[in-house]
Amino acid sequence: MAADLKPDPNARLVDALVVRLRRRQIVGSRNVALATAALVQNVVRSAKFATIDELLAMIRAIGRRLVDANPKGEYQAVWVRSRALESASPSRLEKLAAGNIVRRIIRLIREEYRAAAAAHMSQPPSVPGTPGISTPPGGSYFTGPGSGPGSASASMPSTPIARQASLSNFVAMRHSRVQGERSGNVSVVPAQGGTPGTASSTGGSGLDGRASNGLDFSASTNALFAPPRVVTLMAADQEAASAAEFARTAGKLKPVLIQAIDEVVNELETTHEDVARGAKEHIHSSEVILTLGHSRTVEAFLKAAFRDRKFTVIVLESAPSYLGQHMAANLAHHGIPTLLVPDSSLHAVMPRVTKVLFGAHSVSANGGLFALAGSLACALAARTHAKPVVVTTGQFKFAPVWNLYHEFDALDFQGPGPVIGYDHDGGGGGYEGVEVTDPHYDYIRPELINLYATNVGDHPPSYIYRIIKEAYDDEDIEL
Amino acid sequence: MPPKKQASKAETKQQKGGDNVDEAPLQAVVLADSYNRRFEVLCLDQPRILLPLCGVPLLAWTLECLSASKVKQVFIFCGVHADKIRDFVAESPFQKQGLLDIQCLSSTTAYTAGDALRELDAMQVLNAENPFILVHNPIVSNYDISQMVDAHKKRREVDKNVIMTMGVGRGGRQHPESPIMLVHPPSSRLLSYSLNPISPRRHRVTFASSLFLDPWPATIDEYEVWSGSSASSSRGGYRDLGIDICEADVPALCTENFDYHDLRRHFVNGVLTSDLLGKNINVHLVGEQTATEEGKPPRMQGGRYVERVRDTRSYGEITNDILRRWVFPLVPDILFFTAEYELRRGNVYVSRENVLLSRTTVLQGPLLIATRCTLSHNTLIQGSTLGTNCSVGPNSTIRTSYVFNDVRIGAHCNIEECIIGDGVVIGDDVTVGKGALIGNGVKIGNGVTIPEFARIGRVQYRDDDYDSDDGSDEEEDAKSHRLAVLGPDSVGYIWPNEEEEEASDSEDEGEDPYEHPRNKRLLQLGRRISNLTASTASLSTLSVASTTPPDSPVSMASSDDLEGVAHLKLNDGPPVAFFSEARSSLARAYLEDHSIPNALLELKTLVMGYNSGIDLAREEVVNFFMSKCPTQGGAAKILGESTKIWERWGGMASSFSRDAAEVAIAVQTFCVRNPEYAPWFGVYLRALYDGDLVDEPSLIEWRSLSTARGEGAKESEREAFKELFAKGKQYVDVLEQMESDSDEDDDDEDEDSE
Repeated sequence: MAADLKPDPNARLVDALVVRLRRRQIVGSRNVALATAALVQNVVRSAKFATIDELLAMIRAIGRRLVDANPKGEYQAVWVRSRALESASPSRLEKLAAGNIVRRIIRLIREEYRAAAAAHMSQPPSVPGTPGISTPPGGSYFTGPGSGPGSASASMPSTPIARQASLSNFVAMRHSRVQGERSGNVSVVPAQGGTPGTASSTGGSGLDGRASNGLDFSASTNALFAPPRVVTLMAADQEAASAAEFARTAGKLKPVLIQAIDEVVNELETTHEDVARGAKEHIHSSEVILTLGHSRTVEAFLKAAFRDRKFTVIVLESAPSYLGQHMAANLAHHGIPTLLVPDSSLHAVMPRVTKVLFGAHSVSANGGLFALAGSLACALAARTHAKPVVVTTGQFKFAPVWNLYHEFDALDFQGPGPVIGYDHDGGGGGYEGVEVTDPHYDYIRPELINLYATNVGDHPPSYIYRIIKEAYDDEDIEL
Repeated sequence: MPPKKQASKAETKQQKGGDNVDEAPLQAVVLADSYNRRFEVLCLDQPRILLPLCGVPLLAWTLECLSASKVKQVFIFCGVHADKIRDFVAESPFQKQGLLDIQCLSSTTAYTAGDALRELDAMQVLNAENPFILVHNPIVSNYDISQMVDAHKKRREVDKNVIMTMGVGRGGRQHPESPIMLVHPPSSRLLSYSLNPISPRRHRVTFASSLFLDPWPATIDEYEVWSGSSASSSRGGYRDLGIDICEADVPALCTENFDYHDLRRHFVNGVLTSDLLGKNINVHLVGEQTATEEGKPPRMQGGRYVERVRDTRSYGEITNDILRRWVFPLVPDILFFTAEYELRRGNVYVSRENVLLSRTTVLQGPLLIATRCTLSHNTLIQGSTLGTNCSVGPNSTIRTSYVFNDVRIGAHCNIEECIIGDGVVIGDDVTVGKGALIGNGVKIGNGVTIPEFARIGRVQYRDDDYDSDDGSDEEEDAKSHRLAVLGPDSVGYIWPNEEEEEASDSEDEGEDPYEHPRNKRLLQLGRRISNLTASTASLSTLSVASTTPPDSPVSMASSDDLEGVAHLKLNDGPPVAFFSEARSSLARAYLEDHSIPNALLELKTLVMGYNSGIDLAREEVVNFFMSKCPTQGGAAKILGESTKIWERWGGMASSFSRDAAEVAIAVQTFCVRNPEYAPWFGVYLRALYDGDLVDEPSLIEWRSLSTARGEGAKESEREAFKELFAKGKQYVDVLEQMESDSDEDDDDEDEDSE
């Protein structure tokens, strides 16, 4: 990728961001999202492009590079349960804010373009996809699904066909891709997952179960979607001629596009406030709220609620990062009655708690989420004591990926220093012979979550796929 | 990862600040050459700094660390193989992506770090206004060195005479090269720096008296002595990181003083002890909370792992630390210049590309397997790294070893704690002992056992004064020996034992104590510091093996002499010098009739100085005064004389004993060992009593002691002990009776004798 971008003056900017991400100089999904948006905006501002395709390809390339460079280390699941899966561990469980924000920007750009194109041609496009992008050279489109899953998944992202907007569609995309990576080893299970109804009704847990059985149904879903694709292509070809004319004037749209990106940035910047807007609907008077770590969304949420309600917050200190201590300090500073407890007293305080509230690092399409280590324990304790669990998160954390492989996960392994200390006589200052594992994130299954409070409304976990569907275009799921 | 927002914001601001034109870019100097020969066998065709560590050249680790520390310009000071370093730099992503401006300076005339700094000074490439970072060895670190630079600048604002800040780390393993530093922590001033090799252990640290005299420092209560980790406490000590923040004065001073070679031994000591110079050196303790970091939770403070690859020992240790994620975020699965690794349970890193593991392969982390490796069935890999394109035959075991690229290892091999260079071929049924270093391109035949700590190079060993003319033809018997050790159709030569080379240097006046053969041995991979004696047997095999090169001093290194090791034990007793000094001190006191407190003070100083313990001191005192007691002239005379002696000097013996019975035992021992005194033991005992050295209960206690009856004594002496005990017992029995008969009598007797 680096070679492709070399002539581009923006390549250096991308490289710089990649390096900073890798060095953990930017952490926190919101910061990453903001940095990415700024980068893309820069690129759009300075890029020269004749057609909208070129621009989108450029942005997508950046997205791919960011996703490729950064989160690989971050999203490697280690504690997988079966040995077979261990060796086939998902290589690309990327769902970082960088990818999300690139998808979102592409979608907005496309929308702007579509609107402009519609105005230009003064007639609505017959298909929701943009005619402009659907004309890559060569006959790669006509490589049917039979030619192998690899090529099918390669050509799929650029086919803006009128697919049914459904969960099964989503699953199909994801799966055909995983299939492509694994190449071979196909076990076709007919009917299951092929029909939209089954998949959406079984929800995330069902998918997990199936995946850990080692099932794959991409072959069947590919077959399912093949015919409509060919048909719409014919239609698209006819339209291409008139659209191509407009496509050449895409360069003029630049200010509009930059504005669209601004919109994304604004949305990011106001996420906390937007999420917190509904706070008083969730928190009632004299409640006892348990939270952990330091999520700015949660902090804003609690502070907003405190304007109208009187309640107590119990904060877990969240070793070894001790972010909870900062959270507690900030809340107490705001006048909220706050109690800081060590992580070990989680179960002891749980009976007194009326609601558990924590932030997410990223939310996957099945409604499960990744959050600070300790969140899983918290959610399980809440389940045991039958307390509701609410997750506050911005929409930008919703990633169109499925966690199909892991029921429990520990992610992003840190150095042992914060756990064991630095001034002993072992290597690095630890104790000789003591192995330390320090994961930073937990994966939490969707069943353990009652509600997502987001800036686009409050939703149960089973509805997350819909929000993702609305936020991103299908063809961008694969960057 | 919601935290760290403030941190990253601050960072962006700082970065923006860094881009300003007014602020000069931060410069760093990396000394690529080691100026020693510790890695030589692996470095025949490449510089040490390009050796792979977890599949990544050491230079890349160093550059990554510097780049993350906001360094903009790096000068690499190359010695040999400068072209290879240049090629690497040109290809490296740092240069390509514009992260660093790297310049290679090469010089073949620099033989020491001091030379390098002199040449650097002559080249005039450094910005004289700003301090630069001097990196002595390849470093692996996640610490932001710019914090150290900031602290240095701050201290320099206060004190213009600060010309250098040395990085000091807390914790970590014991290392044979740890200094002892005298530091004044509130001002971070370094007052004294002395090298402290583990073996032979130094018994004294010398601090210049000028530090304490004129004027006596008012802040002496705040002085601290910082030394390395020790075996006796689990608390880590302090270590020198080999990272200095230097002002332009440092290279200039090196130019002025052409005899500065080693930066620590010569430069630092030179600056600290010079009265005329008036310059100061500071230390910076990594991980000490700075003002900007205060109050941040640990996660936001950034890493504080700093280690440098000095020798094969630290090479192995650092590899393990990396695999245990101490250097996070510099871990193999995130680093951009490595292939992609998959992190599995137990810190097992396996490349995602073309690694072929057998079903029966056992992987015990932490370990790393790079791309295109093939492991056959029943292989066991534990705590090791395998470079790209390696293959391991069936039933082979690799433990704690570091295998570079393109290595072929045959079946049924057992490889433990060694480093194997690029392109090495190892046949079947080979055992490689621990600590072995096998250089690039060596081929080892089937069924041999490579001795422990052997060094095998592709070409013959050459020492410094090697004459290139006569080395080409190998003697016939040497060749047959070589083939016997390395197997038939092998390629490679056995090098002499590492600590044996450069033996001539050790007589030099300014010898580097770290390079002492005994200490140097501890720098090798596979040596245990805590258990030095364990390797005795293996060493003897090694020296047999290494007799190959003719005219090498190998044969002199007889099976082994590990007396030096004894000094590491706590209870091994003082050196001979103690006894002679103690004896002469006592003699002086006796002749010149010193007062007891004065004589005692002198003797106690000796006891402390040699760490001999009071038991030996008591023995020495008793022996001395007993030898002054007469053996001739009848009981009455002997009693009188001895009583006089003990009246006068008894205080000496009693100050070195916990109770008086011990003195009695000591006297008994003396009599046992000196048969001419033996007949009069009862009399001596009485003299002790009369001289008020022992009282009656002590004598009774002596009578009840088993040691008095010879228990625990040597076989030969036991009889004599028993005999004397019988004599003594008589006297004590009589005494006891007298005591119980009439106390008055006793009192009278006492008065009489006084």
